Amino acid sequence: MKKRALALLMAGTMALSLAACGGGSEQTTSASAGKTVDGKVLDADQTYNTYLMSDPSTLDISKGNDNYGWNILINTMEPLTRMDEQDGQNVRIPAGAESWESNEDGSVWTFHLRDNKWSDGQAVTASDYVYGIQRTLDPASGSLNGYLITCIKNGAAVNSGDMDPSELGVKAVDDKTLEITLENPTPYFLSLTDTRALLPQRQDLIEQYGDSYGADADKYIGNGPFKLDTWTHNSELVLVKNENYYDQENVYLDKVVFKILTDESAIFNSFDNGSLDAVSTGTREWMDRFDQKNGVSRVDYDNSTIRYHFFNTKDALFQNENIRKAFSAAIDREDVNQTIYFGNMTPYTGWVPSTVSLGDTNYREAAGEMMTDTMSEDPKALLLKGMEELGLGSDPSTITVTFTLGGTNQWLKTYGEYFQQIYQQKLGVNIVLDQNEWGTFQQKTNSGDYQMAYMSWGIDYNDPISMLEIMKSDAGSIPTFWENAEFDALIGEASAEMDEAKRLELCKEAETILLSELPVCPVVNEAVHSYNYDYVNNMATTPFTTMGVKKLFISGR
Amino acid sequence: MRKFITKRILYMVLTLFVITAATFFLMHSIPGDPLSYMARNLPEQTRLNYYAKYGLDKPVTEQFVLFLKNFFTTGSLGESLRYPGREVTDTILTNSSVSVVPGGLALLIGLVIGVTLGIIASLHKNKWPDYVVMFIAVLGITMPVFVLASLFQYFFSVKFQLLPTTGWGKPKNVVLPVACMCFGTIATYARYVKSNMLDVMGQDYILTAEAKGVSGFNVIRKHVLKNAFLPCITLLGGQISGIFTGSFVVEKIFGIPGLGFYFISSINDRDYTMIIGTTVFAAGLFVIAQLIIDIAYGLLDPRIRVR
Amino acid sequence: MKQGTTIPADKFRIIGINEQESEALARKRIGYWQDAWRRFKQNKIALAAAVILVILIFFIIFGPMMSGYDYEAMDQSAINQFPSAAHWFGTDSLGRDLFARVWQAGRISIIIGLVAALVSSLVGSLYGGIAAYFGGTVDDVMMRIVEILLSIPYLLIVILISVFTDSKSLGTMLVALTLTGWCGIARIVRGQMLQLKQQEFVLAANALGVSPMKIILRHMIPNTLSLIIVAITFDIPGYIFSEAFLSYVGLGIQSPQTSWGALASAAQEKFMFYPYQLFFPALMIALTMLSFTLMGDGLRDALDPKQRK
Repeated sequence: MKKRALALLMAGTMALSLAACGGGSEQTTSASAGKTVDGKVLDADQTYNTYLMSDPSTLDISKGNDNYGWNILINTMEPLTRMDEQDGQNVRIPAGAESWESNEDGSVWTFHLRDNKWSDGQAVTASDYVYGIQRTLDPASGSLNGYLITCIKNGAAVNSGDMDPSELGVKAVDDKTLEITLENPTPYFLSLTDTRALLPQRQDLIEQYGDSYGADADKYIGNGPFKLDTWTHNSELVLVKNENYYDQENVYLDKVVFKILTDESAIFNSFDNGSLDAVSTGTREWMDRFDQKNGVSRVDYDNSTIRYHFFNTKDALFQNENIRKAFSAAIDREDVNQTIYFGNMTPYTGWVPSTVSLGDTNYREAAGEMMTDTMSEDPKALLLKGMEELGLGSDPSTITVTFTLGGTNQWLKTYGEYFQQIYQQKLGVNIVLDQNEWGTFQQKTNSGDYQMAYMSWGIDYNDPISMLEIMKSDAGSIPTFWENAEFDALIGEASAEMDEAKRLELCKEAETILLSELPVCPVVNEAVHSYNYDYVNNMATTPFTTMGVKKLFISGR
Repeated sequence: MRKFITKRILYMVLTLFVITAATFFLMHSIPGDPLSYMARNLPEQTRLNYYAKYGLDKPVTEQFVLFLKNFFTTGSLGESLRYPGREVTDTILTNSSVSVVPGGLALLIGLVIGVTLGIIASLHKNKWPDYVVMFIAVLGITMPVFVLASLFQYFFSVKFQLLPTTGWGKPKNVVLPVACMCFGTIATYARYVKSNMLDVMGQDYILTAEAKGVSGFNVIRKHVLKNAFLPCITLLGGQISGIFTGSFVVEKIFGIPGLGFYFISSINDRDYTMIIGTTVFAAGLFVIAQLIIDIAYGLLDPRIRVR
Repeated sequence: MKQGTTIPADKFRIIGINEQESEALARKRIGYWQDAWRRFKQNKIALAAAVILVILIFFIIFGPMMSGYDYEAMDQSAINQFPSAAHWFGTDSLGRDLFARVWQAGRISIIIGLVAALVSSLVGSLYGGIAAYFGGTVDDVMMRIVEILLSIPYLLIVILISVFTDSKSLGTMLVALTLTGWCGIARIVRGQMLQLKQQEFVLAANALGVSPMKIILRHMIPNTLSLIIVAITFDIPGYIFSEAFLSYVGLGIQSPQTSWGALASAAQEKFMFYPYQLFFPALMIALTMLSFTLMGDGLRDALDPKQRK
């Protein structure tokens, strides 16, 4: 009896494991198959396989705020404008809006919407935008993006609950005309038109689904090139072509699969064996491997994120400017790049990322190199000078500095160990590493319980102000406790200056002040190294491009 | 018996309450909040609006009372803070039903192989089958799961391209995760079964049975097996509740949308509602499993009479 | 009758009898531990495992000094080198000598495994023993406490301890690992003791008025010893694994200290490029696991009075 039961159990197990070995794949034939684009014939299978490193938190435009969700939104929503690229240069093109204009001082913007439909066939109207903007600023929605558009008239007051959302400076003049009035002239306002904060939202559906709107594929709607077909949380999102999209004849992909993959080697292995069509990596070994792979192309570009160290200017040691300078000058950024990043980042001494433009010009090219003075000095001499000013004697080995790191992963550990040795070598000071889990790190740094720490900051929108304003005395974004009235005043002026040349000067001046007092010490500008199989065409090559995968097509898989 | 079960259920409710309360206050006492995952400091007004929306601006005790009230009136564990709009209960049910597939298969396969190996080893004690079997059993658990999983993934899906690297939904996605997970079970049961079999075989009643002329096979079948399996129930209870909660490492490496992920991520993200939800779920399963074990013990072992 | 059954009479002779020696034991009296040692020695596999363990411990003690490199010293010119005459186990991504690092890490891992397993088995068997012996409400309450401890998310406790002590040192790690680690053994011991409690010798001791503590320590624990030893041998590598898992999720031992788990999880990301970086720590973990387990099996057989033949 027992033996039989055992045998049955065994048989059952075998059957299950056999069943586990079956399975097949389905083949789809695209409507755009056989078409010719840019001299290339499109494949029958127009499926693009890509990945996200985490499940989007939500696709609710007001509530979500992560990049993963943005990757889905940019493909399923149509912003007022999009940033396209021509010959590697970003160009702003009409998207949800056919055209737009502003009044003379740049305080009132009018957008003329084109005829576009939501994926359920309903027309997109100006009031959808008005509702979306009001909802994002309404404190009741608890949105994390509200701060981006407090430049709209009464924005700050609405966001703090002092005014009703209806008093916001947004108006649907008619179904196809959207008028936005700003608190002050805001020169960079157009840069906000392809962010979450200015996307249209569907009042009827949001009210119907309530808090669960945007949490599942059937509780979400878009008006972009693709629509969300299925969303298996933490596994994959599948987008399919949206037949109601105004420009659908120029959308070639039928299906876009976003797999959620959190493990790095799993991602690279998947690209290696062809189950992903594109991947980006900064790992030397994988890059070498992909570089040698046939039929794979590589795209490199600087990202809009700065990795930096920051100092507690209230600390007994780092209150001294020369000490801060010493700790910055001691960093050989080229060596950091080689050793830590295997040459995959861009050594950087500016605060505004290299890719940011002001109007139509690249800010960094126009503003020039920063920190040249500090970098030319002898770090040890700077340190001794600072020690003297603080009355700390002249023996660097008496100094012990805690380097606080936010994150507990292996890479960060290696990072800390590298700097431990570098500072020891170049300055002769002792470094204690304090590796914290993120929440602890945030608490420690925000409460000033640290000396020197490492972090990175990615820009919100394409304008130098986005990076500079976080250093204002009252911003509290980076807890350096650094205050400089002159800097604050310059940022205030630059945020409202409509003349590009003048604004460039103001920004440059502010950045110079910041980097001569050095509460923050930039180390590298992030760079992206993205690989894709040659059968994928029209991959983006700049960080601010907001075309999503709209232009992609598959040829010759 | 009924009195015993009633008492245990009362204890169970009390235990769950203490677990919930302890976890609730512990998680609020560690640094960070649900905005931590954003890895940057948001402007103050934005943070205040967010806290107000999710009731995080209230004192922790008040939040706890609200949580209990919400749970007892609506049966809801609340909305995830990291994934707004998702009900914690839905997430748990959906994801544990995913975890249960590889977990259950691994337990089943591991149990069958492990028990078989254990029996073989004990019957051939200190002869070569014993050595070979125990060596095999132990070999599988000599590596941390993350090492094993990476090795499997590398060899079977990258090098030989036999199986998919990651993914979920197709039967072949299950093979590698199950293979990784069943080693622990095999080793555990092989060793425990062997150890218990030997224990039991040394007992007086077995000697008596043998002396009375019961055949070797029948002694094993009637007396040894039953008594040797008893301690395994303790293990099995814990493991059965474990298959619903999944394995973080295996799920992460093979991209399986199971519940194991949330046990770690909810804590890293300070997703308070999800921490409580997963904890209550796991604790509930665990406590129920304990109750079942104790009842089973009473039923199977005449020496322990449940009073 | 059959031929073979007859025994020739000349095979026998009278040897006489010594009256004084008739009461003496034919065999030298052997104590429990001597007997156990004798039986352990007979088990070749267990002995081999013990030898491997001794070798491992030798290297763990002296290894870090043997290669001539400091386990912390980075060398930019020797990054990710494969094993060679200069670096016997190769170097890591910062050019540190892996031979020195592997043995240095071994110290931490073995200490974690040993200390945590011993502490938790001690606490666990006492706790389980008390719960099982007294039974009733005491048992109920004590087991509910175990359930509570096992159910509070482990990572929360680890984070809390590291925040509270503001360190991720060896001591902190040990506290974090043992704080709930003893619960498993407590439950196993309790299960076994519930069985023992009903057995005659415990009843007899009880009837003779032996104190409860003494019954637990003298009668019940020794009879659970084989189970506890199996549990310990599983626990030592188990704790090494737990530490490895914590390293994998980033809460393990903090730099500049390192452990086998930390080395392995660091190497995991790039193991297809530098397999040796994963191989050596993984090999040490595997050897430790294997030898503890096999030695534990041997010990178990040797210590179990019921297996005496």
